[in-house]
Amino acid sequence: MSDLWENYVREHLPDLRVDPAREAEIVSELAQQLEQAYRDAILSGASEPEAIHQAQAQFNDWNKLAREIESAEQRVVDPPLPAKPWFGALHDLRYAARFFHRNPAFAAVAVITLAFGIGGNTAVFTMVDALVLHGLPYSEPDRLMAIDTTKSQQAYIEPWTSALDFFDLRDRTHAFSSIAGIGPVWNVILTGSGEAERLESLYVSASLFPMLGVNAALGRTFLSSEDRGAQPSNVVILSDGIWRRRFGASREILGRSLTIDGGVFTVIGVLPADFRYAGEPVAGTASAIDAWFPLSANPLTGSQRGLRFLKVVGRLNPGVSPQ
Amino acid sequence: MRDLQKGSAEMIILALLEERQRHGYEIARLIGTESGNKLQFHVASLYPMLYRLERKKLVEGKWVEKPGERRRRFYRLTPAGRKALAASKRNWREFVAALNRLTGFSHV
Repeated sequence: MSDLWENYVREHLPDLRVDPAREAEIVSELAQQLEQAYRDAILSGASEPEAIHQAQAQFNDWNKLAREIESAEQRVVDPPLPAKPWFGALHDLRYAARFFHRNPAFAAVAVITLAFGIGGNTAVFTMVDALVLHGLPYSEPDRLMAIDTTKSQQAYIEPWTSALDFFDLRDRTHAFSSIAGIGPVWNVILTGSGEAERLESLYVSASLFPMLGVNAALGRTFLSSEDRGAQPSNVVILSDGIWRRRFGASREILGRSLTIDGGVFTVIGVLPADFRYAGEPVAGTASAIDAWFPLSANPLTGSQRGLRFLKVVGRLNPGVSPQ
Repeated sequence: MRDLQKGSAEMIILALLEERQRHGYEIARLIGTESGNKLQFHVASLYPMLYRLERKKLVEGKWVEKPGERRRRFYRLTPAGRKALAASKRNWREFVAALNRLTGFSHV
């Protein structure tokens, strides 16, 4: 349905005098508005034709809308790009350049465009160093790279990767010594002793902590065997903060079973007090993470390539330059 | 009244983003529901305004994909946006206070 609304917007919105990648973003966003209006109309009991009409009524003067968007963008108009084989890569690089321009604090180090033959729909991975590398409490932080992906024929880069693409990249890469996937967890509630408490949580692959050079202060981090397999591993690692606040810094926390969202998870480790998740907040997740679950515990791990929900970070192999 | 609404539209958007990040559809919906439908903000005006605020670095838009949902573009306040909102609130309070003094509404 979203593709239908994107096509509808493309048919009605006059060409914008903005960067093509930016235009694609705008089209996508306006299509979301229409699709949501359509869905809400259906939920309100509207018939299909009524819902479509209500959605289309969201924007009735497309020429005016285009003029206002162009005025709002107020950017230097780029000349038409020549049709050359590296057209798509150029888009990626321009996107990354704007990203860095808008995020100077991110201390951009490098932009690399690599071609991978992964899957049927992912042709180009653009790796963008989007972490604040210096001063991070990780081993050799300048070797860590955020990996963003884009589908073929897609004008924009997404900071998300599907589980299957992540597995392929992890298994086939020669550029990275280690690759880790990070996914959000929603509405995790800890119950049992004391009041119920919402936990800020992430699903992470077992490779994350070794890749960052972080060992558990108490217990251990995830095993690779807890990272794969059909049966999710019901284990959890706690932050130092919640360990002290909620469990009184008891060393007997190891092996203890916690009731989280109605499931039982065994505590296997506590992270060091000075450890902090310095990655970009994942889908609104706070940067102060209370609980860490293995990636295998995420049911979305078995989803198709179309569902892109993972942040991916890699550590470059020795001798591999980010440039 | 039309100019007043137009001039305060940016403040309204910034205020709705003060608590947490939101996407455009949610912002449009909240303007209607939170004002008891006293304020109408056509979405055709909302998105250019969001883009303008982004260019002014008062808000930051970011694509977010939640599991099981389509990706959406969420907007959040930047530090500059937070300062701008605080200044707008101060100006608004002064304006309302002056209006009350002039009209005597505050004594009703």
